[in-house]
Amino acid sequence: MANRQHQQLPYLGFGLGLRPTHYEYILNHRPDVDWFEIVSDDYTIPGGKPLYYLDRIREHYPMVMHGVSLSIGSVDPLDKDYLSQIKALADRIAPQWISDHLCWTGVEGYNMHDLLPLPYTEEALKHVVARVEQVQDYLGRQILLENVSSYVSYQTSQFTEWEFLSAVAEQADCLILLDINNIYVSAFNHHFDPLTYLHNVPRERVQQFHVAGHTNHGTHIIDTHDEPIIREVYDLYAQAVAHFGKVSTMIERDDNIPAFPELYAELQALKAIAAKVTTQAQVQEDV
Amino acid sequence: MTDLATLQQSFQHYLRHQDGAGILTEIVNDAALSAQQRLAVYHEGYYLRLIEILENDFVVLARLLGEESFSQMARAYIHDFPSQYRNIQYVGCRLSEFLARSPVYHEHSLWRELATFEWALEEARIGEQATSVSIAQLAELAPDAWGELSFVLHPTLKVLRLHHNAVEYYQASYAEQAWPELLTHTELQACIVWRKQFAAHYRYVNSAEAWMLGVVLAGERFAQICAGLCDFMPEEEVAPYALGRLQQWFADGLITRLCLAE
Ligand SMILES: [Fe+2]
Repeated sequence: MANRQHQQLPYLGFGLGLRPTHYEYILNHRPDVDWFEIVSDDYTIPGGKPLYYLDRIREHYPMVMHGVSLSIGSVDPLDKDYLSQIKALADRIAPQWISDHLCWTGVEGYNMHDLLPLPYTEEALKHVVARVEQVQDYLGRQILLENVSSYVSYQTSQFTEWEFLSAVAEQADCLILLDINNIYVSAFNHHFDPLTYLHNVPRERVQQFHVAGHTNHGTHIIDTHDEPIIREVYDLYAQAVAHFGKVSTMIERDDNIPAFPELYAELQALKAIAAKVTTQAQVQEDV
Repeated sequence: MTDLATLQQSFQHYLRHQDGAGILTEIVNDAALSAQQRLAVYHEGYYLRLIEILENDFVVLARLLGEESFSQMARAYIHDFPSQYRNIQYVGCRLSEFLARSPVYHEHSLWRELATFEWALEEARIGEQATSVSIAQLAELAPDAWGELSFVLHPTLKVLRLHHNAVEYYQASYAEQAWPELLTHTELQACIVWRKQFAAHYRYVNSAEAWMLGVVLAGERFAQICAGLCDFMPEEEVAPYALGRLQQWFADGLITRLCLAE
């Protein structure tokens, strides 16, 4: 932990994911969005259009880097080349913070390009904690880890998902990106109460919220990020704001991406919910 | 091997082969959804996600094959050449190699060539950044310096050698025209692909220009290049031809640096 800076990260407000279809719109209209989150992997390529637009858009908005290939839970060695790409991109765009997922993406040198769930065991915990420390030392900053949606759970798990996530964050001294939709999806798929999850994550470590849409197949929900946010997820978001207070929030939309104003409207809805919950909390405090 | 390693290996094995040995008993079963169904979500998701990426990178090949055949072919590719790339954008990079090596697809040389061409366009789009120089830089040089001149070309430039008219298939598809008749060239046709601004560009080059690009890439100087061109045309045509090509390369944004001898 020699060179890691432990600085207080700012509250950024309400952001959106930066997607190529919106580059021109954003530059031309400068929408009133507080910040943007990029998928780091879309920009760890040598050149071309994405990097060009990123450089321009970041002149006007704070940026956050969100990766999908760290594979922090894999038993394969950490990918040093990937880490150096992430570091180079961070040097280029000075993000407010860097996040990835609490998952694994492949072993034996293969990449399944999916965010695969870990067994919540002592062994996995030790493994992940050691790797998060390595990553944080290398990047010289704390990282955020996000809870993923899952469709399986393992017989060998010794902890609940929230216990595991919390233990990783505490022991590795990292931060948490709480995906509200993923909690909703996993709660549905594994039959737990999403509020129990929310209420058992260390409050001071939650630095960011993700909110998104999904596809409900009746027996199970798949985290597709291709639909508008549903009522129940808005409600869970309200509960999250009530519990955690002001946390930087953004909407993830990765597929079936609508025109920018539609996402902007969804963001306004989240903002209104947060404002209402915060005012209510204020009133209660005053009484 | 550790428990975690064993679990990840058998999970990944399931994703790739839908073989539950070693993993099925590890997954919590419940009345709502069996372990098998739960794993199937990941197995299907794995293939569908990558097939979709391939459909986007090989739009014309996908149209030519039709949805069902393309996805069958893509599935076989993903199965035989699992991704070893950290970035999903490179998933398609061995498709033409797969088509060449697969006993099922080997005979479809047009498909292979179309895959090569579309991948070259994709690579150009995401390839390295470089700033092109303008022809004005050439005009600033003293005429006696020309012979010693060498050129650095855009890092995305690639010279393809094509057996068929895959390029015409590509054009027909985007022009929403009927597929052309399949042609097999008696001599390989050279076609260059590169990025200009943000778009991938391509054009055919004749054998003299293809040779010229090759020696420029090898770092040869202008005087040697002109000498070599004498094999392609009468001596008096060499200088105007070479100049004409240079002008075109400047206009194409292909030249990123002029180098003079020390
Ligand atoms: Fe998320």
